[in-house]
Amino acid sequence: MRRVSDKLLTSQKSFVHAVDNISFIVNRGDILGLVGESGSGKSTTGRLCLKLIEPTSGKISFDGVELSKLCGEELRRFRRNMQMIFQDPTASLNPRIKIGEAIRHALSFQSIGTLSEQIERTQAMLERVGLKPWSNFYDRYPHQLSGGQRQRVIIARALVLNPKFIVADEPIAMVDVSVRAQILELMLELKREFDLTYLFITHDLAMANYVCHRIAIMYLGKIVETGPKEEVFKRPLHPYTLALLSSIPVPDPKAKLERIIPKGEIPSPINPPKGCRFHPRCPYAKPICSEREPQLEEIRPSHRAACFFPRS
Amino acid sequence: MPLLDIQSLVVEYHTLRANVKAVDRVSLSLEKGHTLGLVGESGCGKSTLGLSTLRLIPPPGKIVSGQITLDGIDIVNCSEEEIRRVRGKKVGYIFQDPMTSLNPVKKIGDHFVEMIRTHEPGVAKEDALKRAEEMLSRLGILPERINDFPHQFSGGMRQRVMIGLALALDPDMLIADEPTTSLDVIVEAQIIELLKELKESLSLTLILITHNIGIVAETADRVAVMYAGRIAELGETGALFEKPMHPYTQALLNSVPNITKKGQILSWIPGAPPDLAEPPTGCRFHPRCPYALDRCKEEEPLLLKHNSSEVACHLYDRR
Repeated sequence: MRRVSDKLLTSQKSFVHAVDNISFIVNRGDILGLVGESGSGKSTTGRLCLKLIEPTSGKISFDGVELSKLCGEELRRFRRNMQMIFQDPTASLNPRIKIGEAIRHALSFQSIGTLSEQIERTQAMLERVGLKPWSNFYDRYPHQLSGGQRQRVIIARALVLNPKFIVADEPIAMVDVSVRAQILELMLELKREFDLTYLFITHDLAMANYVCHRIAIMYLGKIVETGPKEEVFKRPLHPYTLALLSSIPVPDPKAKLERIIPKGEIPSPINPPKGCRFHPRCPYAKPICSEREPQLEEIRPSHRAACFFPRS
Repeated sequence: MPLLDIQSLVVEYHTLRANVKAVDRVSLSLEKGHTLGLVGESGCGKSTLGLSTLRLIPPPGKIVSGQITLDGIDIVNCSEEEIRRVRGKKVGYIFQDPMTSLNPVKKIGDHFVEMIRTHEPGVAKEDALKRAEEMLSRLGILPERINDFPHQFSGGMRQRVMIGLALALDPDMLIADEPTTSLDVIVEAQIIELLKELKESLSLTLILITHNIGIVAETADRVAVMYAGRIAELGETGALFEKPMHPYTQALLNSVPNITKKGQILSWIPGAPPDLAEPPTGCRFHPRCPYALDRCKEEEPLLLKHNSSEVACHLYDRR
């Protein structure tokens, strides 16, 4: 008799190339916006940068240190340099742990300072992210806070270790509209104060435009365009970027926009289209697009795109 | 005569802790063929208001007082029999989440058959399926896909199916509750374009419930801004965006990034929306309002006409 696990293990394997052959650099002090739709591989990329998942192949270096060479205790200590802000502040806090303790645990896990020093640093951090006076918040449970306050706790927990690099994965997607700008401003303020570098993952181009210095647009596991924010938004090269830009709803009834909305939806990454992955939806596709895969090339100074027929 | 007229509607949720007034003395009317955008943050009562127009508020929610008149029908007091004739036939409802609003063990076609035959028992199954096919192709889905199950559809296509179901009985009015919230930007734009086009071709009256200010700016003729169960401001879309009057509307519009504006500086509203079990006295926005006067703490402002709009704020009340 065959066991269920046998069947499961012997069934044909298919691989999802969630992130496929991408290269990018985040400079110190930069805010790189990683923009794309769901399933484009942007969250996977963020997790790879922190070695929360292992790449199948490829190399990731942080401050000159190759991450794949680190493991065990060494990796744990190294992680204090790089932290993550997660999307859902409710799901990323343990409902039974008081928020002050949740922040202090980050310090105690890295064995930084004595207990009283840890508590002191936590208190200062709470105040720094706007949860003041700290005495009103330290002993509260997550359910006693609003969504915006919880996201502040997540930010405090990431920053209490004094990291150099933060991966922020959709940090405002789950927060109320009127509070979003507040969280963004806080993140920008903290960036200046703590000399941080951000990888800002978002699906919201308008937010990315507001926050980031540089933008990388992802589609089906590939970076299709990257460059300084002004360039990418003013003079987009890749038809997919153009489509994304023209899809954003503009909060101004007088704004008349010419829309180029591609048909269909992002296909499954298990069996991506041959050639350029965007070609089945691209209004400008030519025969070559389904045959050969375009590489990311510099088309204008520091503005790159992976397209045979770049726009503008 | 307006198609929909709501007069001082109060909807309460009875909980052990308190009676929460999710919708509190809301009045608004909607002309045939117009689009109303209902905006506000989560918990402001916009979905409850939408559901109450079809008397669909789940318990422990209850319409406590007020009137809803839809095409001459008294929604609050009519019989169960009558309200069933309104649901689906007069008003189609697009629910918030296309992932959970479809039955996973039923084929797409059977969703249509159930919908059509519940309201029109005389229709044969084959005819209902034929209508489903026509509807799907109109919405940009291949008709043969009526034999597929919901999980075989992508998010955007499921939302198209939801729109199709809401339109299956050829209603006069469509209520869309956050129709694009769980969708990606490009798909969102596709769905909004589709809604606009259907509204024109079927001359629908549309209520669009959303927190996305951009979508309202693009689609609505009139906008109602809700805050803590009350309407803060109600006016023509153009006027409201150009010259928002209520401090809450102003703050809300300033907190949304606009990609077409250069060097925009976002502002935000301090604090969080109030707990509706214990709403603030006077104007409900006063604890977060930068212009709050003493009067705002004590006296509740009424929704008064001011130029072409209506606004509930003491700053504009020169009595």
